[in-house]
Amino acid sequence: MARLLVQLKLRLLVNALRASTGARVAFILSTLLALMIAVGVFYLLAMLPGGIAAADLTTVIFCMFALAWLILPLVVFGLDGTLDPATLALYPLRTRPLAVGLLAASATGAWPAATLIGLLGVTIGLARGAARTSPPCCSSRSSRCTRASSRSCRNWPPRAR
Amino acid sequence: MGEPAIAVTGLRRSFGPKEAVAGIDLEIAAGSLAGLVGPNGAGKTTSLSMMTGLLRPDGGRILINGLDVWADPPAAKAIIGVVPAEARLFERLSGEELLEYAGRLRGMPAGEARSRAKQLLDVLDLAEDAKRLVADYSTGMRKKAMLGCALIHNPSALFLDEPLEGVDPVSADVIRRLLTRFVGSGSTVLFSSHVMELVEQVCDHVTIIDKGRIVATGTTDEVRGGKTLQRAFIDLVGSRANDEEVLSWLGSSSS
Repeated sequence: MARLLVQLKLRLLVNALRASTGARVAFILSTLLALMIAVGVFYLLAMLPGGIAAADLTTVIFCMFALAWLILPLVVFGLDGTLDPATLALYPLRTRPLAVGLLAASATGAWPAATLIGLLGVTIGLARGAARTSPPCCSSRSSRCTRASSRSCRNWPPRAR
Repeated sequence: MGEPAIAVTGLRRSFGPKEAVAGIDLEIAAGSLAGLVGPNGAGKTTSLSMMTGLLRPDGGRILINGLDVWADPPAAKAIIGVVPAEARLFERLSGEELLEYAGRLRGMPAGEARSRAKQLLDVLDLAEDAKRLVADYSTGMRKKAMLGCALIHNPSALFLDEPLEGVDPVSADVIRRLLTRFVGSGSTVLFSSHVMELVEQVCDHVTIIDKGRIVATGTTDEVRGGKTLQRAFIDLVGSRANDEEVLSWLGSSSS
């Protein structure tokens, strides 16, 4: 079911592009912008120096994406090959495969891909940042010392009051 | 006449305080071409939506070939075809693709769906427009395309809401012939319409509903009782022509 709905969505997209030049231009521009954002955000997140400020900035970037996805689909329209669930109401589709299929279909497209790629930059940023901010005691001590307990690491050895 | 193909008992549905369908009992035999007529707002569309698993009834039961529609809507949808009044189609598919996807969404293999789509488009006189987008279709063409989508899995019962509304006579004739042929093979059709002449001509079973209730049901001859169906309908539902005094100025060109 998911495969069929993704195929259907792509077919709708291709036909929309075939139908008008305006749609083609909009699609190309939108894809280029998505690509730029994907590369830009990936680079930014990957290159952030470690530390509290970097963690805050990452949080802000993730929140911006979440907000944008909440609001922009409502106000920006145009090239929209979205499958309308009401159109599918006539077909004998069970709720679960339908929900999975619609999710898969809505994740198909330049912007969902750009979001995924861009935000994946955090994996590199996190790895580098973690390596840099880990208190030295962590590397010398056993693996018992995790990130969660890094604050107590920093205060090690405890000072006498 | 064996077990009825469509059996409805005590069907009810309200929208707020307004009772749109107030308890309908209806039995339609397999192989019959049944008409559902009634004035605007009588509850035709509401009834059909409930029978086809699109609108949950407040009460009552619908059996199609013995299958309880609201016990398992997807199972019921698998054996019926529906042509709703308001077309919700994938506008950006060509006619050919629309029918093919209609088949595949019903679990048919792609090859089978494609060959049936082609045959249906031929019969529906849409072969020349098969490659055009549905968005560019006229009302009649859209209705025919929807009928194709509703028939591609060879349903045992077909429901149509105002199938000939806004359709030109040529397309109407194509639709009418296809429906007649379809019931000839033992399948069942139930459709709603305003057009009494049409219902009188093609239907062997007629049901008249008004204000959410059935006022007459039976074979076409029983219901019209020697009169034209139009006359019988007006007599049953009540003519609302009491405006002669009020509109005395209308059409008076002398003053």
